[in-house]
Amino acid sequence: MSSSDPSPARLSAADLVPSDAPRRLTRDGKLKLTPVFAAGGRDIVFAEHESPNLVALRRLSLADGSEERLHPTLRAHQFDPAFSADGRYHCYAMSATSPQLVLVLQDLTEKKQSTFQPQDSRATARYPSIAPDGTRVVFSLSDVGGQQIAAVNMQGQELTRLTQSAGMNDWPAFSPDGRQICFGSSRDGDLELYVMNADGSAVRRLTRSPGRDVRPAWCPDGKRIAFSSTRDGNHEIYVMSADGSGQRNITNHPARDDFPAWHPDGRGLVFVSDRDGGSDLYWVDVPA
Amino acid sequence: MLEVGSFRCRDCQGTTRRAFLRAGLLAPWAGAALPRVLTQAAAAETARARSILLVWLGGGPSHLDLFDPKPKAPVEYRGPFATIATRTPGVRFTELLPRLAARSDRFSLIRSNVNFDGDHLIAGSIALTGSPANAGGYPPNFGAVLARRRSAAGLPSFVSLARGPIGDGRGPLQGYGGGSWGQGYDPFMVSCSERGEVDIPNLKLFEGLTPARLGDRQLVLKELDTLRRSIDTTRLEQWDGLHRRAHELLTSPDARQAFDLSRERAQTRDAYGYTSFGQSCLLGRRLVEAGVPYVQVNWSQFVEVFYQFSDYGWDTHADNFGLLADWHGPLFDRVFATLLDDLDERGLLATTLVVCMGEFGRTPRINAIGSRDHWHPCYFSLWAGGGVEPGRVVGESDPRGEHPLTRPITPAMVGTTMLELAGIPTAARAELRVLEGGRVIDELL
Repeated sequence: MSSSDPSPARLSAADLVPSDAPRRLTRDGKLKLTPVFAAGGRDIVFAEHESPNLVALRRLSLADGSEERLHPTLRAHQFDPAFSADGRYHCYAMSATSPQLVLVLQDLTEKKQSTFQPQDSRATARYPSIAPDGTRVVFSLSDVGGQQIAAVNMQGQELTRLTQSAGMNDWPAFSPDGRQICFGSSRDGDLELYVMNADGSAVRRLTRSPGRDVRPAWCPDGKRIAFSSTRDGNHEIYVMSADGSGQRNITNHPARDDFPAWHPDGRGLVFVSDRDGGSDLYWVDVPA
Repeated sequence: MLEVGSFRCRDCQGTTRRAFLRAGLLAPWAGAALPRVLTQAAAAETARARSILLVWLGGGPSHLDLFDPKPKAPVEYRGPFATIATRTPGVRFTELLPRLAARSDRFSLIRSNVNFDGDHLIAGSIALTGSPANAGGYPPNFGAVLARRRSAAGLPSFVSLARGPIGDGRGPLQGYGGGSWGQGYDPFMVSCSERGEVDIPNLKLFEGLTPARLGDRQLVLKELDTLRRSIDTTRLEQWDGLHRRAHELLTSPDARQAFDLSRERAQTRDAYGYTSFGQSCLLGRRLVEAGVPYVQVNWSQFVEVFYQFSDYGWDTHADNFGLLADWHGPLFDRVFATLLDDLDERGLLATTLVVCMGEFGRTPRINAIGSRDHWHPCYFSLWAGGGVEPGRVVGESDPRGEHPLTRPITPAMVGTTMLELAGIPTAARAELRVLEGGRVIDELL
């Protein structure tokens, strides 16, 4: 289907029933990044290049296909949404008045907001993942000391660097039990996936492939990890067991398939693809 | 600059939207009244490139992370990206560019560009004009030189596709237009949205005046009266002489067709992708096809990435590797590869010189926050079509990508080569007093 299809974004629960081929969930074609499920799987929140000078977080309701800005009055660029498993906490990266990207942390229950601001005036905090117990958030910190995985509490305080390696470290993702963190790193050359304990200890390498293995997403069942890989020449979504075994391509398309995010029930995932021209969200079943 | 009217065009979804055409009081095609150094016929005889399409990557794309990888450099230099083979034997790009690697036989790569300043506004002006400013300001942009030399029937001669004058948060590049020749040689600015909707930035004095209503003389006169009250006398004196030309442009079927992306096949529009840069490249191809001599497609209006006003330029001081992997690399790879394919399939590549560059590269040594800063002593440019021999790699940088090991390619050499291929030879440049003494990059030809 071409991006010139005039149909607005509409989907229903039927769109998420088992199917062999990925199903297209949006049709506007605007550049999209980093989708995640929210509200127990009823919504998808993602970053969209809404206008030439604004990247905004948007919420897509799976119930009726409606779409709206998540933060309607915010005029700063917003990226990398994250929600805690219980829906209480929300976190995202936001542009500041300098080239910085700060981390915004919200307690949606108490309606409190905190901000973590990196040290260097050009530093960035990106790709947050909230611990299942809601006590802290891990993220990629590009600041004095290089690009490392770091953590702060939900007030944006008590900064801890969990990695101290050469190369870049990015895309941290908590395991569902909160005991481990999967992340991408170039410490051994090209970008591969690693896992470490939640305190940064016991780093183990999970992938060994040509090209980039990036953006891990831990399945809520705790047994599988989805990620994006270019090992076959272009971006594809792969799924492997949590120990790195059984890596398989689940998208197999010449276009770019990227940014996987699991549904809370673990039956499939949403990803971004430009297979139909524009940049849109797609759903694919991933049987256990 | 004055807007002289508007028209409606269909977007890709079949709906009609208003698109504005604004005629500059001193737009490039007004140069028809200015002295010509050579005749049109003479230019046609010497030109290998009928048009030039410059893809401008403002902000400074990282040469090490794209077209000049250094996988054997120390870890504090090389970056995280693997390299991939290209169709050119022995030449490798980073993994961010698989489509262009598969098309490396369609373009040539310079790995030894140099600039003379590390400031965006200064380096950008030098890169687009060929030399630093003197007492009279910057020389004219290469596009202004060609526009003075060559016109397009019913269309502007120098078009810049951007949301406004390109620059950074401090202001525009002084070298973006006519420079020391004056605003009369500034480019005709056109913006193109991610849906392909064409708009003219800034003034919209005649909003609501559609081509169908242009025949309404009373309405036009009423709008002119409004205009006369709103502009100063000096500018008003220029208005009458230009009104006819503007009217011609606005009502020209050729112009309207050239700016209307809804006339493209859906597959073509899909291939470019629905981003402002993608659709702008498609619009650039249409303008070249329609005969516009010089089109500059801008990746963004601003060089900055994350400022609140910015629109994702290449100035990746922070998160360079994440941004290139997520955004800049895949988008550029897709769109530029599509542009080359499209021009080639339409038989336009032979007569269109495509040049792609920024104002500089980025620091080979990764900075303290895990990213890269400005680096003007060594960077890359891409050249295709219009008389350029494809599949060549010109120049070589040192093992860390810090300096050229071979003859540095200066902005003056870039401009000289572009104009030479477009049919403005040494004598003509000398008479125009631009790029005097400039040398052609012979290795490209």
